Amino acid sequence: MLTIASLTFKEALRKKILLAAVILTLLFLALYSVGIYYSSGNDSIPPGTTEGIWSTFMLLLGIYFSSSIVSLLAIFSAVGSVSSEVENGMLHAILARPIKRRDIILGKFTGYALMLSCYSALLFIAILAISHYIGEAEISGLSSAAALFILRPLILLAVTITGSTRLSTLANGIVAFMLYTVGVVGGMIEQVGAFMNSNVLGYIGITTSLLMPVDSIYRMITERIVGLTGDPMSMAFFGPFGTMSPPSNAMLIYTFIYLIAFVVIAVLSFSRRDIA
Amino acid sequence: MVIETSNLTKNYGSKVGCEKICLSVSEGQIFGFLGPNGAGKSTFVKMLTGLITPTSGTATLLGAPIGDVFTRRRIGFLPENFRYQDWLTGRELLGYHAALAHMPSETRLQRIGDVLRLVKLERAAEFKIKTYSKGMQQRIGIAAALISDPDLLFLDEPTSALDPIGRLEVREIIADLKERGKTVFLNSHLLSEVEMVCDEVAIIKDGRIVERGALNELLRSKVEVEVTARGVNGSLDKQISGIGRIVSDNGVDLLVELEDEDKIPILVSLIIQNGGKLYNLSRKKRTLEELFLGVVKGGGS
Repeated sequence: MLTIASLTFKEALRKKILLAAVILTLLFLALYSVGIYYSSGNDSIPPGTTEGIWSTFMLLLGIYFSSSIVSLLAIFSAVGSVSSEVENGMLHAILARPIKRRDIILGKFTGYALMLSCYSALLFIAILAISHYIGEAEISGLSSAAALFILRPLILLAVTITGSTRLSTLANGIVAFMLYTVGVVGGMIEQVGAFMNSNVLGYIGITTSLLMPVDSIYRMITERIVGLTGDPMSMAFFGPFGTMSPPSNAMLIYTFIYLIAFVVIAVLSFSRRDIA
Repeated sequence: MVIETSNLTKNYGSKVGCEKICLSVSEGQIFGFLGPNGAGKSTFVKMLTGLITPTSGTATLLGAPIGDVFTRRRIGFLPENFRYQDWLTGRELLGYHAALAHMPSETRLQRIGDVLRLVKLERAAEFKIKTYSKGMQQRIGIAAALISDPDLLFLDEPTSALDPIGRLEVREIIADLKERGKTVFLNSHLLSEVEMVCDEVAIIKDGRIVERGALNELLRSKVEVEVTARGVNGSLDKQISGIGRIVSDNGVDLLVELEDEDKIPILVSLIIQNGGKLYNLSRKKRTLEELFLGVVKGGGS
């Protein structure tokens, strides 16, 4: 398994996946820093708001889009992890080696997870550092928020690798991206439902979160960092980036089970697949 | 037996991939597996190497059931549509396959050097595989298949991308493996190659084995002689009907198929007894290509 994991990690480095992501991330961070810098002066704050609200808004915006970047990186890096190697015959010689198929899936998951975890951690720290030192945002719950920030792409990674064991690369990319979108939009609908006291919207959001719990993780991150739990002003000020209805601890447990379940499904699915 | 299959069958829905394949390959043999495109050759090899699961039937490799992970340490495989991690160098790829084969780390470097020399890629070892020509990629594929010094080697079209010199070198590698007692299962369309290296062959058609046996015996099983004779009275055709038949006749040159080689002297006697003068009689050696085409087109040998 470790051989496959190291090869997967090396592949991400050699194919310049990580390098391209890092360069574009630096651009994103530069843009974000400029945005924070020019929005943090008193003169630029609209009437009726405070500098604290704006710094929090910019922090949430940074976390939201950086977690989106990490999520998309998870999908795109793993979309053909199995399918493309089956399609081009690269796996044929490997599968004839004394290695269990389980180890191939776990190795690929570990390799990508390592890359995504390193990238996510650095990006998260960078966003928080910029928000805190330039935007003067108040930050708490750093370690648990960082762990959740890293967890989010791992969920998409597990789902994408599972899809890659059965679907073609293109079909898998479409399915994974659509699932991600459904999860994000559903999560926003749930927040709107909480703001409007609409049970229907709440149920829709919960259902989509069960299907793809990426948005609920974002809500957990924001709750831990800026503590917006149950604040009606949260939605008014922060729009889709704010959290009106924070997920419970049960949702966190469900998310871990969801992640493990998809890895197990990927292993079983690949173990039973004919490599024709 | 190194390879033993019993009624090994693979169906893809209603389509037959392989049907009730019973095959035995003994140790130290170079076994040729032939068949037209789509006959089921690759399906059979993929079942043996664990890429696909048989629908029914059983098979053992080196005494263990197919799919046994531990036994794969003693197996090498060059797939037909070979493709390797082209962002690795040749040496890195071999190191990767050595690690996957659980080779002891202290012997890896030495072995990698040996197989690079064997496939004549020492000078390209540090180049990335994406810079390799098609032939070089096939060579590095053969090197990867050989890296663990396997007792059983599956080669699926190993010379398809090689020039004549490369093919000769692969034949030499196979001959060397045979000398060392290794078993090679060779899938190839290049019948002349198979004829030069294989001890036994099997021909598959529409998923079923239609011919198999020792190559020498298969090529000897039909006796054909080319005869040049003049002045034969009457029709020789009728007279030799008891010992064979005339395949072609242009008035002077005959191609005669006989039941066995003991009928050759009888044929000579018949020609002489009928006043004929015999100018030439030579036994025609049957080629594997003729055997193959006869089996594939005719439905039997």
